[in-house]
Amino acid sequence: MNDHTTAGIWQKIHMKFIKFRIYRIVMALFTVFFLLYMVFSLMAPYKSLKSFEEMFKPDEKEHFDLALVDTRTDSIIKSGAAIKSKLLLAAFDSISLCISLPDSTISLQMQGVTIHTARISRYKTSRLFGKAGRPQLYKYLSTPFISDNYRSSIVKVPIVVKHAPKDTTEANNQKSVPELPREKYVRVSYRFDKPLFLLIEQEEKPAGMQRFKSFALRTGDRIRYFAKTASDIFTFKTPGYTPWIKISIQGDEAKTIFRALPEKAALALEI
Amino acid sequence: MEIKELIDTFKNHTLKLIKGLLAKLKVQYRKFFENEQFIYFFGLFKQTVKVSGIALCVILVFLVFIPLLQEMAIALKPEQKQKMKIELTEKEIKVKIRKIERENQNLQRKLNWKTPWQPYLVVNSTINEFSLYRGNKLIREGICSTGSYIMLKAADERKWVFKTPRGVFRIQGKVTSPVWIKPDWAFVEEGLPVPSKNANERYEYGVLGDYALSLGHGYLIHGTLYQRFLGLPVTHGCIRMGDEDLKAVYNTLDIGSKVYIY
Repeated sequence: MNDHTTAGIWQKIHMKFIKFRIYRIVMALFTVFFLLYMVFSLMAPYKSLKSFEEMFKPDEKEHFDLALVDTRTDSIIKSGAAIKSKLLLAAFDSISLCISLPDSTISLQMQGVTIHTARISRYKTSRLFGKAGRPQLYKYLSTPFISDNYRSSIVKVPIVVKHAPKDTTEANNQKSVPELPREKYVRVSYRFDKPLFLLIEQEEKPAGMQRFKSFALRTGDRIRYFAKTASDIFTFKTPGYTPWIKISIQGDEAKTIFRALPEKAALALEI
Repeated sequence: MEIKELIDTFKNHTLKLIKGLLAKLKVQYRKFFENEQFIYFFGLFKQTVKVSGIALCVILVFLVFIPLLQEMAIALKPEQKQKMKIELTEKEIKVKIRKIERENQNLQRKLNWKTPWQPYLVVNSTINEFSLYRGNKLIREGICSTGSYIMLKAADERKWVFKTPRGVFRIQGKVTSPVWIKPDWAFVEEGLPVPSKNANERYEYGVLGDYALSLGHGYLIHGTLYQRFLGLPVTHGCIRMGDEDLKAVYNTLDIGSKVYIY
């Protein structure tokens, strides 16, 4: 009986020791992951900036002469780069997007004709644009951006399926006054062939369930970014950092722009 | 005196009663809070709150704090000073600036030439509005109706999607007092049998308003009997306008004029 009690006590101590060890191992692993995540995350923008400058290295012959880089010429050259990009877009048959941050406008262009313009109420940009070399930035802005993929809170083509009535009586019953579309929270994000993450969001604060949807979408974006960074860290790669632009416009305008743009949307950007 | 005694006795009894009740409550309270199950569940609850708090902090750090730090890290990078290849004088720089400005103006002019000199129509099919332009000048705007985005499925597996196509179109024809030649879907939608191609039932007069402008592939800009639906997506792909707006569009646009639909 006595032996049995002693064995029980030993077993308890052993279990406690194992528990403590597991706890410590988990904590140590988490700390290592946290530190790695932190270090790699902070390294990411520098790596992106470096690759940005290599990717958009201007040729010797190019117009963005280093000698001209001066605060006075900066806005003029950037504006010229945006017009060049718009001219290239004019050759496209589909509808394209033009964003001018200095003018706070977002517009749709079709074959060089501006068909719709909306006012940007507020915007935020990644600090990378301010830190990148000017000639590289001019080159980056002088050609259109073509979107690789997009995510949106609303459907692109709002198709409603209706089955044909069997007879006139059923047809008469189907006839009703068309309903106005319900207000939905509009949030669209695009990724492009060049490093850029564009987020267009409605300026009106969402209400009710839409508020929850907005929170879920924001958190979803953050989780995706975290998952991508974490997976890069596990494979010992420096995670990527994409320069971003966040734009707030009226909900109706955001919906119009999103629905008008084709799947592979093209963009001319002036910053 | 007797009354005072009575009151005192009543007071004592009441106090005793209250004390007794409190003592009983205390015992019950102890029994409840010293119950093993309660202690176990309370401990579990405390542990859960603690773990969720830590988890929330970790989530906040990973999802919010680190991305913010990332942005701050870029801000810490010193501003790049561009090295001048050739030293230029102030006058030379001004000349170069003027040159770039001229180049920009030329590019802008090239872009402006893309805007048609003929009048043109722009239709926003998302909010069902139109704008009529001459050059860069807006001469009329208003509401219209465009495709409903209804997909009609017939019993024989045929289907139609009622949407207004997007893109650049040209006016291909103009008619007054148009007659609607009803396509198959118009009969399917009403639950009627589909007649032969040239059957009389296919011709309907007076439903398309006073004017119609053709965009090709069967799409028209026309009037409507259902003026109250203007501004709503209710059509089968055509663009419906109010009588006055339609008249203005008809009189302004010529054959070959551009119509931009987005």
